[in-house]
Amino acid sequence: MSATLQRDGARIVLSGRLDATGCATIWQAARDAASKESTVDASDVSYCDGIGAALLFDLIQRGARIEGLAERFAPLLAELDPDQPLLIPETPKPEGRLAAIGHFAAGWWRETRDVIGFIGEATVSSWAILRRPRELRLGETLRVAASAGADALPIVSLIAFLLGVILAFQSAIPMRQFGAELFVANLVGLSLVRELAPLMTAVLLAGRTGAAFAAEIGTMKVNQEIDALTTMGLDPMRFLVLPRLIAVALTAPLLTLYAELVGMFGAALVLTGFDIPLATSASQIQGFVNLSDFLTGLGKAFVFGLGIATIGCLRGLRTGSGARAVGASATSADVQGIVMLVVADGLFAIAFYYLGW
Amino acid sequence: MSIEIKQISKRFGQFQALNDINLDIQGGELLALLGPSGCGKTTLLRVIAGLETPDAGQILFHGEDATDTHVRERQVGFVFQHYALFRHMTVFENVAFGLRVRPKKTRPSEEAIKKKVHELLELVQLDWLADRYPAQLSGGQRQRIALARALAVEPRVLLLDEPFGALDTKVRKELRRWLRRLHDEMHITSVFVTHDQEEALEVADRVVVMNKGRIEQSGTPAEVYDAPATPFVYQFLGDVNLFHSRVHEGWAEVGGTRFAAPEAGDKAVIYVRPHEIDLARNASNDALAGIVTHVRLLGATVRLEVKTDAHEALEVELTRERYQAERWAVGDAVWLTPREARVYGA
Repeated sequence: MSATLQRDGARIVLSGRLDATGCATIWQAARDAASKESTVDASDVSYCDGIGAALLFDLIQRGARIEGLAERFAPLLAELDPDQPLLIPETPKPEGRLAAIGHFAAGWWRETRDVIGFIGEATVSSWAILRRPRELRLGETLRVAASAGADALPIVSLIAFLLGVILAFQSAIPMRQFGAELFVANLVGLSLVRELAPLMTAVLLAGRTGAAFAAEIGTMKVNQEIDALTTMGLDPMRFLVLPRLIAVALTAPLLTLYAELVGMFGAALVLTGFDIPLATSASQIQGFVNLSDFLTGLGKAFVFGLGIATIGCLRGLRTGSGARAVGASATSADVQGIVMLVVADGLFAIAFYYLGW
Repeated sequence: MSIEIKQISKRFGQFQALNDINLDIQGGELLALLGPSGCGKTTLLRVIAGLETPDAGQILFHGEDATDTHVRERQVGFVFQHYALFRHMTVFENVAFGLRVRPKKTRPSEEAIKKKVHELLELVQLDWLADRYPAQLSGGQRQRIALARALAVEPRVLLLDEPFGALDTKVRKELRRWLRRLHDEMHITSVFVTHDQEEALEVADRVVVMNKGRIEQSGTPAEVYDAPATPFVYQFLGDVNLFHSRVHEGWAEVGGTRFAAPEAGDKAVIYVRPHEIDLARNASNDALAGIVTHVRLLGATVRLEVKTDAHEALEVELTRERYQAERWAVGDAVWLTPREARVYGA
């Protein structure tokens, strides 16, 4: 005989055998029926084993009262201590969309504050260095400048040259339809000087130098060398960050200048194929690109360089612990650097448009 | 120089790393902060160094408030677990670094720096390695160089964060004796963090046992070992066997042996160290019956695992001579009597 369940208002009458088969048939119904008000009449239960006790336990946990359970089954239930509230760990609810947006915004705000704080700290330190220039670590600054600048010349040459060649080719084909090949030099010259040379150089710097800073400083952080410096009374900001900021901020415009020249040379070389001599291209560019174009390009490069170095150093100093953290820092320095470049370039474009530069 | 730590607390997010710590460190003392990982000992050390700022509380250096003093003005020497030597500098440059980066006014002459560095390298007995790079040294050598580097700036306090944690047992033992001798020569106030109770007991003048951001006990190695204030300290300072007992008229019982339990309430927990248990082959009323399930040879001592009715496994440690004389083997029946025990209320 298996178990049966009858509902009579708030009364639940259980009868029959409360074993594995019996309980399986009535468990769901009993659970649904049990509430704070219900009483369970178990006087007709003829057999009850561990599973039956578990069912009764479950019902008690739901607030039901058990009545009339035969004495021989009572110890089985008592063993489970059913009046003790069961400690069910609250499963964390998956966060709603609003909470997710909130968390994201809070995280973003924290990051931004961190960056602003870092920039402030760097500014204060640079001010101190400006007043006592001798405290700048010149050797370190030059070393960084050499590795960020001089060592980058081959790759900058390659990219800038190809950039000039591609631009010249792409624009020469439609321009020829109008017989305007001559003006390709103007176009390429202007876009290189104002836009492409600073941006491409900065992207290369972000990949080569920004990530390298993050990895370098991150490794020092993981090895506790930064702590060691601090206990010796050295401010990592002045000792490690400032030389890098200064070196990159000065190297970036120089590299940009070099990239402009190489790019223009590449373009001019292509134009010789369209029967325009090098000298003509040169004079076209000279006549068209003026000093303010040139200076805005270099100004941008300066800002880009500063931004890349700042992000690289900041990510390095914020490296967590463990060797994997260094890789994560280098990657995020690279990605954040490039995002920063694109955003900053957009802002520059808007600003220059309104300023009429 | 003495250090006073008053009601220092520090949280990292949800985690309470330090909870109302009060500690006085005497001038010239060698103090060990001992505790399991995550107990806050390294955080406390970093707070003393000034590498972390406490959320609340005060630190006095020689009676002066140093809570807001910057690290560089505290004049501490810090030795890190993983040495933190500058990789691109030679050993000589590493040790000289702290002196060379001083502002011109206080910087010694190059001649004086050279002399000082060689003195320190002689002190750590590594003068012959001056031109090597850290990567070319063994762990023990690196740690000694790190110590020389920390001492070069003539710190008022020497702080060591698990200085021997990354070294192998033999080198560790050598180095800690060497550290003790060095401290006896120099008498510089030193605090070192360790999770190795043997190291703390052997080297330190005073041991501070920490757990969950609090100080459990502070005292000389003998005090801490012989009179542990809490069950945690007792357990942390060595292996233990645990017995539960009801208390009758102030007495707790293990097998038939009774121990005074004046402070315990109804129930007591009795801790017995493995070497404080006697073994016998003959049955007696007041002994625990058991069967030897494992025999482990640990060099000079032998550890038997004994299964009894009431307890899963008890550990008993005996000397090799006794073990050989009595020839215990797996499967032997054995009767145990605890000689000494420590009783805490449950």
